[in-house]
Amino acid sequence: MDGHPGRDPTLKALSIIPGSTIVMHDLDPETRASLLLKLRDSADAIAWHDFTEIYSPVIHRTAKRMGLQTADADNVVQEVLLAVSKSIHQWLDREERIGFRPWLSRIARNKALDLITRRATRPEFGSNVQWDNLEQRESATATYWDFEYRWELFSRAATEVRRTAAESTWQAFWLSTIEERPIADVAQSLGVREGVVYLSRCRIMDRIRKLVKQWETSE
Amino acid sequence: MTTPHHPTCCSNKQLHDLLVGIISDADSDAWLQHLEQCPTCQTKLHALAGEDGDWSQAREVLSASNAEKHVARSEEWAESLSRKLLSPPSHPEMLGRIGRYDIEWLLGSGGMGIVFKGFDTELHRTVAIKVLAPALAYHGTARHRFAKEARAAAAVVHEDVVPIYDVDADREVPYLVMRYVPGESLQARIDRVGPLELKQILRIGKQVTAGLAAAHAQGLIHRDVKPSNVLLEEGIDRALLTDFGLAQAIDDANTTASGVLPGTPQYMSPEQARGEKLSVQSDLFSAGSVLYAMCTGRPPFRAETSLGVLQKIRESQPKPIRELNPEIPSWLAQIIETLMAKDPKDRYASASEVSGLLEQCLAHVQHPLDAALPATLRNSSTSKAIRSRLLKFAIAGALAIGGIGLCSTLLPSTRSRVPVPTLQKGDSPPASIPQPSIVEWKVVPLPPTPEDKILSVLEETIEVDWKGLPLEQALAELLGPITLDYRGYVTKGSEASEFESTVQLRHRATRKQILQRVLGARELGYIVRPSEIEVADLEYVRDNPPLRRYCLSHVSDTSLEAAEVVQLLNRMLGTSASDSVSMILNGPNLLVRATESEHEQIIQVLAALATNVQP
Repeated sequence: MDGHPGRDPTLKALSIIPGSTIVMHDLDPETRASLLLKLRDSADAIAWHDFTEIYSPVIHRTAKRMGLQTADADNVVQEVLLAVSKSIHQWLDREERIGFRPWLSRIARNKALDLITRRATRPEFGSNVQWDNLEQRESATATYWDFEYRWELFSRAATEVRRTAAESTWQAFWLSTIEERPIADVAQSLGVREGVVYLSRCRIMDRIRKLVKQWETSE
Repeated sequence: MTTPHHPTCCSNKQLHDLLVGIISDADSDAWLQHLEQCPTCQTKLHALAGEDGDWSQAREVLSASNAEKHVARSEEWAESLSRKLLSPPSHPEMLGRIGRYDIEWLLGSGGMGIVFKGFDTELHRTVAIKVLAPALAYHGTARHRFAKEARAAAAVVHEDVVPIYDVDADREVPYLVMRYVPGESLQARIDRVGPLELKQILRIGKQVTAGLAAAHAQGLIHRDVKPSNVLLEEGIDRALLTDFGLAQAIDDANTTASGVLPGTPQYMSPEQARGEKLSVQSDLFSAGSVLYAMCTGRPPFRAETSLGVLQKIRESQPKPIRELNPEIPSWLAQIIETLMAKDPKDRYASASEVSGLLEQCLAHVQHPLDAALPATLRNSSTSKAIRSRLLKFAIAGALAIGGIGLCSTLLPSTRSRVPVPTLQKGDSPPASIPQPSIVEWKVVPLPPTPEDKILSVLEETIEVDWKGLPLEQALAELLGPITLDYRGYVTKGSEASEFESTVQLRHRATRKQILQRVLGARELGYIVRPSEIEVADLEYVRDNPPLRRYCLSHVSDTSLEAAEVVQLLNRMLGTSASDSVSMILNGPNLLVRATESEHEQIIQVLAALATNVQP
């Protein structure tokens, strides 16, 4: 998953989409600074950073799947993130706020689905996939979106679990589950008993699954 | 937590505690032992850790090759094409179904078909499914050949050959099922890293030739050895050869359908390029070309057009490997030169010989002290100084015994294998080409060039120095007098548009119009960065050589003859023309883009051919 937004917590995701045709004035330094100031709660700042990292590739890939060309998909990414960042004050101004992350998720999904569905209908934007009607288009976009979103979360969760798990535990999972090697072989090459392989791979799976769930529903 | 010493069977609670690590290490051995012996608990633990969907998603997301393919499969055409080929999916995350296979997603596509990653629902294993391209599926000979060759290939069992599990040629869309090899193709590897390391080159070369040897032992010629047909299995050092004999199926279809040569000819042998009968030595030439590509990061013969490539394969020597990559030892360069000898007789006798040779070389590179280079190669690896000393010694010896004629026998025996670089016997006399027979021909003018018909949508980002002009005026100047079917522009940025210097334009216009406009705008001094236009396109518009259509009526309307006409024309125009001339043969129509004088030559050739066959 290289080539997606890096580690810089300053909304870098907005400016480094590969192949972007727009030079990013969209979020000038002041806007960026003021946004971060507004998100005084550092948890929210981190949430915003995570958000751009997770959503940029999701938006991009969904757009591509709906037949948008790369440059269009890049634009959609930037337009969605820009729109979301602009409406942050709406969230800030609310009397009773829901959590920042769920709010971000919801507004980004809505915005992205709307933009992508609309663009995908317009042949001059390079789509060559034919949809019979708007409903089909909307449901296709939503299906792709949910698939890509889950893919992204899953791949991130796996990266995180790998980082924190003992190497031998991870290897037991990797060799037996991803490479689908027989348990006995894996046990032998890792020098552990087979029961350890069974247990290790289930422990990794369990943690990945729980992490995904936590991100999906975190308040 | 109370733990029975020998747990008979565990409750979900106990398994959960085991999973999250609540059960103490002291007790865990008994649990592990139980787990090893109890399939019920294994299944329960498995289900507790994740649902089936979680496990399968783990496999899909985490396999590195899939991560790449995940991006690749979002290519626009994949979806619509898949819908045409496949039955509706049984599961929403699948693309579709074919036979008893669930299609997960598209792995790639080539000249002959489309490859999907699938799942065998009966045998519960992941497979790769190659579906014959729709254009070929409706072609009787191609279908027949596909089935025949696939069945022959299925008989080749070797660790360096991708095993074929199943062939179904009776369906509307014929397909074959192969082992799924996680990893990347050699082509992808070369594209990614450029020239490979010596050990890798030798290992892959050894494995590819070993795979070839196994096929040759079954009387099967591969015909299409090229880097994209070599798969590199992820995690372990194994190269597997795929797509045996299938090139022939495409040959059948393409030559009769359009006369256009199939696929990339860059790795073809000279005899293949001449359309002659092939022997196993043809595969050896291609294997040599693959080794060449691994050493240098590029194919040995390159030209603008397929026909240009074929001409080079027949007539010229590739650039010496060591000029492109000095790190390649001369003995390896020599092996490749021998493999790529123009005359099949000058190449090695068999693939197994080459495989053995490369294996010895690999052993030598890995353990230089324990394993010597094969004797036949040792001379070439010695330095020039030593060789000239050897030569002097040989001559001195020869003189000493008074017979200069013996000298040659003392020279290294491998010399005779090295191809002579300049002479191509049997290639130059035009008499060897069958004369194509044309009864009549005419030049058909092409009033609307095909380019003008193509509607194309382009987006440009234009950075404009407004010089205080109102936006509309600047755009008017920029867009000029050319009428476009559709025109729109979007200014980028926030509300403060007067500070904007970037305008994004969206057009629907003919490609030619857009190209012309881009050129015009540049002349006005605007910076135009069209998203899809390449420099070559612009130059093409600037000096667009005239395109003409010649209509050839043949005695017998087989395009084999038409292909011969193209070959002949190419030959007549000579090597110098091969870069600028492009010929596309489509049924009886020959589209030629060439300069006026080249067109005149073509007309002369056609006239000569036509009179040749007048009764």
